[in-house]
Amino acid sequence: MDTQIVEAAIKGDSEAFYELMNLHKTQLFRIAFRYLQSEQDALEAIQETTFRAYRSVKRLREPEYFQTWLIRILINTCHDELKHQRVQTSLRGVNPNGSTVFDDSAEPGGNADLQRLDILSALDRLEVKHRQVIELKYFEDLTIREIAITLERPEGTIKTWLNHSYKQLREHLRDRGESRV
Amino acid sequence: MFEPEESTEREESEEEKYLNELDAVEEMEVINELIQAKPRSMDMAIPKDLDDYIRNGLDKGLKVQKARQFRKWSTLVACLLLVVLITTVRVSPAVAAVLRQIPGLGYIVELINYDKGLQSAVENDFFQPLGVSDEQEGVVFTVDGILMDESSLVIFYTVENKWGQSLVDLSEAKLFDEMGEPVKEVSIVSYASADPDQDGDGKVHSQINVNFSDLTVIPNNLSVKVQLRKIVQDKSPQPSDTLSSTWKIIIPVDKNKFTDMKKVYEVNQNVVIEGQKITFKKATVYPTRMALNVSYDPVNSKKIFAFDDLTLVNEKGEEWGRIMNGVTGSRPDENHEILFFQSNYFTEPKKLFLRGKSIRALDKEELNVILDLEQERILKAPPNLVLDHIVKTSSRKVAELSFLLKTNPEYDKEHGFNIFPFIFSDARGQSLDTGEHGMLSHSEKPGYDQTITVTFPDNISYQSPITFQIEDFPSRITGDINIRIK
Repeated sequence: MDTQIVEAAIKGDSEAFYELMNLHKTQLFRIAFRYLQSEQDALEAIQETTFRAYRSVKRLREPEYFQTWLIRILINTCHDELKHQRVQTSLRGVNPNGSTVFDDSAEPGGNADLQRLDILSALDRLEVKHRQVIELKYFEDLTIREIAITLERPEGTIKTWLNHSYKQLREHLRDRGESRV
Repeated sequence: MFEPEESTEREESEEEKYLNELDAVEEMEVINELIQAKPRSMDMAIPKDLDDYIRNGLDKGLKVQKARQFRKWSTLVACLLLVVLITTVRVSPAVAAVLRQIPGLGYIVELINYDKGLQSAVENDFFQPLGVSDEQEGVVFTVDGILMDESSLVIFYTVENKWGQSLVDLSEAKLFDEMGEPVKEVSIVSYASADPDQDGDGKVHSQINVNFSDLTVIPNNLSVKVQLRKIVQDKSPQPSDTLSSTWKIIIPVDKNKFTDMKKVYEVNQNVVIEGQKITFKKATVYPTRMALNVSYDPVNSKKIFAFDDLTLVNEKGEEWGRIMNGVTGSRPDENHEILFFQSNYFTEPKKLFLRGKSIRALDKEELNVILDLEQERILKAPPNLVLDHIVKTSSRKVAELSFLLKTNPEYDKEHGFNIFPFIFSDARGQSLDTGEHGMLSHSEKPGYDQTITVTFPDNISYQSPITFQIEDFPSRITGDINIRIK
């Protein structure tokens, strides 16, 4: 990543900041979409993330961590959004979309797709933090150290979560194997 | 005795080893599947309007000026806060010269940059460096120095989080005397900057303003006890952010330094503006500030909130304005008020005039804001104030009220309105404390230009509708005030 652009953004250059957002936007969208499972919510989370990040970029002390810092803000924003949705949902008594995040019955394809989809839908069954560490490591190619900084947890905790995720995913895959027999 | 045990252990460990190997194999399988799934996971249609959302977020960020969150703890109910949106900073070289002699005090130059009186107090050797720290949980709270007289105490502090990454700032401050009893008849105000770490050194620098009243007994040794909390990136504070320790610093008080310093001028003059009678009674000058006692005729039809531009002017045309941040005044009762001005104590003017034109006021019938929390709507409020939304917790309790306000661009560009008091009353008439208030010079809705938030503590119960008594509002009366004080 171009450290010079980050440094310009830290000094208040809004076009440099925009350039950085452009650089990271597809990754941000993927993470937000996986988290919120809605395109509209993901877009709004990115708008809010842009706003929050712009307002605090001058406090970023280590330019080389811009990406992890940005993902951290995004995840906090998504987290706020989910909390907000939960409140609205409980106020209305029903889920506004009529479906839940963990419902994979609407996935396309029949049995042929089943095995292909399994690892991703198994992933959807994990708790958010367990799913997130896997996604950040294997899909977004973050190192354990970067994930630790992003999620503001010690590296040891991230490793524990990863191990837990492997175990759970393994169990889901085992279930798949048994049900196929 | 030992051998059989050792052998079972070895057997177990071999079994474990086998299981671990099995685990590792299955783990590799999972990892392989994940690696294979990556392209599918990445294959996601990126919406065309993603760029628009990024632009919108950035535009919003460009528009929003710095907002200050403020908070107060008080045993004197009637203290006013004026929130100022600060855009420019000019530094007095003389003040900088004094404060930059001692390493670590440079930040105070900017904190007192909006107060000529405090600057002149520093120039005249009235600043007392302290440099005393207390460390708990890897967080160091330091009182760098104080400015103190019989009217007020300003405590300049630094908080450094040595272990963690997050910034830590003040959550609550309390004062105790040498017997460990809370100091009575004081109000303590502190305000958090929207940019807690402006200079990026990982430390938070700010100030605590302590307001003494005539009834305060100032002890010989003050101890300040503070609670601190983590600042979470752009999130409003949660009770769980507060650290469990208490930090304590003893501040020695040298009363000889300030006793009998005050100068009193009797004024006793009336003005009538748009039918509202106002009496200026006396002015008392202390090193840290000047207090002007004002009274309002009880038969006035409007409640007077504040003077927009009331200024002290000396014979040379030099001006001293109101205190802009922190404790700007106090109201002992409905019709009496003490206004605080930046002090000219060390300047000794020959003549002194009080001048001003514009006053914020509102009809006494319009002072209530009544809210139906269940229907989430305003039942009664003056024009130009609307409810934007209510954030509720999962148990349907109010977490935050968010209002939008339309202000007057001529006067209010750099002024954030603190229109709500820190207390409200509910349908049963009981009086309850709010949490923190915040304001933003920005609104999502066209036609409105400020967003005001009022948070509610978790542990209160109340019955809707609730009522706030407005404490300030951008509606005005105008006239001419020109009074000689000295």
